[in-house]
Amino acid sequence: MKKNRSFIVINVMYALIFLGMMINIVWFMLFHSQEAITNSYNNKRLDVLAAQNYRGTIYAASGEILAETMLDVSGNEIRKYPYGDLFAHAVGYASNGGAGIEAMANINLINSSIGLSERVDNEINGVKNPGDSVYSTLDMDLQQIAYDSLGMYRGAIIVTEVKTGRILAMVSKPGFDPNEIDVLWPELVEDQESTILLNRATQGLYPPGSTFKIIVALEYIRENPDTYMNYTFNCNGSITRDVSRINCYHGANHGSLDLTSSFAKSCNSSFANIGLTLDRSRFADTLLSLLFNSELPVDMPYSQSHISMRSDMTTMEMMQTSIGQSETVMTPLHLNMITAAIANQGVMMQPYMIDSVVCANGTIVVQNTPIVYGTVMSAEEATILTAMMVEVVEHGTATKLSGQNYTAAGKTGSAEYSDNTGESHAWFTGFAPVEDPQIAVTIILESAGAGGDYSAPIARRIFSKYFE
Amino acid sequence: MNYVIIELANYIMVLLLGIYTLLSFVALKRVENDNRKGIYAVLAIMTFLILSTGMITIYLYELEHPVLEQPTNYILCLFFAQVIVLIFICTLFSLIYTGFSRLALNHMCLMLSVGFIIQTRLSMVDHTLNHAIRQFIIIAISLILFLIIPAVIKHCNFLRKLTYVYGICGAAALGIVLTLGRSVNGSKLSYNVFGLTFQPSEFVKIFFAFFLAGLLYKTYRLGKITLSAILASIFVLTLVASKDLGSALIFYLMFVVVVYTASGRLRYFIGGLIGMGGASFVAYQLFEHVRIRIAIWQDPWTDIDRTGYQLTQSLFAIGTGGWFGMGLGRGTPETIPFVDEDFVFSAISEEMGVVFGLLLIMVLLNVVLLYLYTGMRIHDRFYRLVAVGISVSFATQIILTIGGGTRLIPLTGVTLPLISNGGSSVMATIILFAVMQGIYMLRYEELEGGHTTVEEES
Repeated sequence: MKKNRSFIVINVMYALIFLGMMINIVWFMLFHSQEAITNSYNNKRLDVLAAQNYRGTIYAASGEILAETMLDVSGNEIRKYPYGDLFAHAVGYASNGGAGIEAMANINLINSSIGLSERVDNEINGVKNPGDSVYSTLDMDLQQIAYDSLGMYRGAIIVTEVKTGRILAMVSKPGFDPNEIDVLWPELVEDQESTILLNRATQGLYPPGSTFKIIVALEYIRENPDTYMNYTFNCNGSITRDVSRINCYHGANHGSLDLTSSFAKSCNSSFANIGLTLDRSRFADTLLSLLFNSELPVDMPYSQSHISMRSDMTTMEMMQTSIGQSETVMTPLHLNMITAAIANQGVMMQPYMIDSVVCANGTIVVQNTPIVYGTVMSAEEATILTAMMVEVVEHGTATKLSGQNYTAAGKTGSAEYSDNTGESHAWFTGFAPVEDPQIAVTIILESAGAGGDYSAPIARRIFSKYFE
Repeated sequence: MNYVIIELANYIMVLLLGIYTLLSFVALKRVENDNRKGIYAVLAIMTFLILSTGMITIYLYELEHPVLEQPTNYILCLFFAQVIVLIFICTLFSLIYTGFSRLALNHMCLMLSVGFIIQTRLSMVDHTLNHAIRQFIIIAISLILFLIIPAVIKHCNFLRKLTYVYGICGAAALGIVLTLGRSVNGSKLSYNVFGLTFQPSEFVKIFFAFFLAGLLYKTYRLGKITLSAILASIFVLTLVASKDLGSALIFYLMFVVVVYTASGRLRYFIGGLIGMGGASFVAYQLFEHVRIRIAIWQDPWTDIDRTGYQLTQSLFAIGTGGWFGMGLGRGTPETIPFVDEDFVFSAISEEMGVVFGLLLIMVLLNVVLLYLYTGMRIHDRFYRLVAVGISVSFATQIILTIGGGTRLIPLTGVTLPLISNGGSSVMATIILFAVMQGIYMLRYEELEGGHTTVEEES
């Protein structure tokens, strides 16, 4: 028996390695093959699929066609976008490298899940197979109102469902007509300055301005759980520490404040003061847990939000950072995710835009379901922040949202983007209704002015449409 | 009808190979039992049907979507030639010999059939069947050796006395490659003889197995093991110097496992594996090309259009093909450099499907287990060690090529036995199968000659 022990050892070893090879392949197929298939260096294989099948249709959540492939008189396939500019960045385009849902779901759209008998029929009749269709999470009405409300401004709006992470509307301006993309492309390649292809909602990096006070307030509550309500500050329009000075917006004199009123009135001086009391290494941990300087759990192209939080920052840098200026930049998508997490009792959901992939014969190929990213703050912290954000609407900078038949919570921002002109981007981020939050809205209007004056009214229009 | 076959071919082949795999494991379990004739008949039929389905699909697809510059009927002619040669060789083999392994014979035919299909398909990338025809001719010639070699193993008892002949011939062949060889991708693997590219390391593996067995079958005292270690290191270091790291690894493992089997001492085996880890570390420190291979393995994506190109294209092929494949002729395996040799498994997965690939791995495992059982059962100590060495060589080569192409381990650039393109590889593997048949028959003679069975003895 001993004589054969070596054989048994070798036998088992090889059997295990072969099993490992098989598991490795199955693992790759289950969890990594999608990334490989959609990689742009795989274009030759995708071309083969595309040649076999007609590209599938993209639908809005309520069934309207957002993109479809039709045949022109000479039998050429053309991609039609019935709503033109309206869904430009969300739905994207299929040619020239692709963008939006067209790129994200490319493999689904060019793949056909129809049965074998239909395939054989199609092959005999010499017609291509219909590609699978994609149902998006996008809501026609909200997209339209967001698009209209943004008007002539440059900027972005993103609306998500707080409990699921479904993206209901996503607009970026300036936009383009995806029907014309092949005509526009040579110009766009020439013109390095043009940013119309940039999806500002997910890729635009803006200073968060006063919306960042949500995060500073969260950190202050975290570090002072028993005493935060005792905070007081007397604002006379500016704060000076170590020869560095921070002014309130338009030099406003806010008087005697506690934490909630500092937040509601968006007092820069008070928040610069709060920022200087914070433990910077703990703050850095909080920022990391809120996904600053890190990857976002989304499968669409996006930019990473950036912030510096180091112990060796100067007083001026720390005060600037506390009011969302300095080097800090973030995307509307990221701010929306944090806002939605507050609305969802601290639980952050992964935002997504593709609800399902459906085969031409009606069977569902892929059904996406909400995915929890994680708990980024306690339910208690979320409740406290919500109360403060309600105060912004009721008595603070976003009173243009008050007096509706629903209660909204939010935070405005007027982010200065240039040192000398004093011009600012108008931010609003918030959710409603407070009692049972449904949707989170994040808006940025470039160079518009104060968030409370320009962005909060747009949020009101979107909420009103949704609760209509 | 053509369309039905084209669309259904992959499902049919998966079904056939599934039945084949299942039955081959049943047959393996009953290896000492004689009540298996029915199973072997089914295995043979499955093999024939897989080859037919594959080749006819290629033919029908070519009718609909022509790419060949040669007449389409060449595909059918090649198919008939393949079938005739396989049937002829199997029949003749059965007539000449008794007590051989029908399972191993069937496995060889199956692997050759899968090779015929995929090489015919890959040959068509160049719009001709020339590569496939050339490979087929080499296989046909090699199969004549397959008929002769088992008789030599059975009757030539002096083979066990030629230890140093194997050693000197093997080392010399490797030395010639190192000094005169043609460099491909920085590795010296081959040289030209009469216009044929000849890759000796494939054949030297078999010599090496005989060499090690000859050194160790009588005694395995420490002195003898030390001597064999010194001699084996000449082989391994020559291969390292030729930058043929895959073969170096195979030779090293053959040595470690043969010593382990000869001595029965687990500590030699474990020590050998630790030594392999150490040697890999040294190789990593010393050689730039080793570091590059490791870097590609860790992250093929960042340098995707240069160093990572081959591996990422392989992964794209497997992923895009999906569980049931694109269909023969419908994928783009030609985007993977050296697809017909080092990455043939990726081409099979892309066009015939991952499920087919997984079943193929199971069949290959079945071959490895069958060979190890053969070694375990034979009493002749010399051939016992030869069988172990050959099994290790065969199994390790499969792991290196499939594991490398699927990013389980770093790439080493070796072929998939009997399936990859390459004359030396396929001929050496057929000789390997022939030697194993010979050993199997020796075991049969031991049984006939009244030797006690292993079970009784232990």
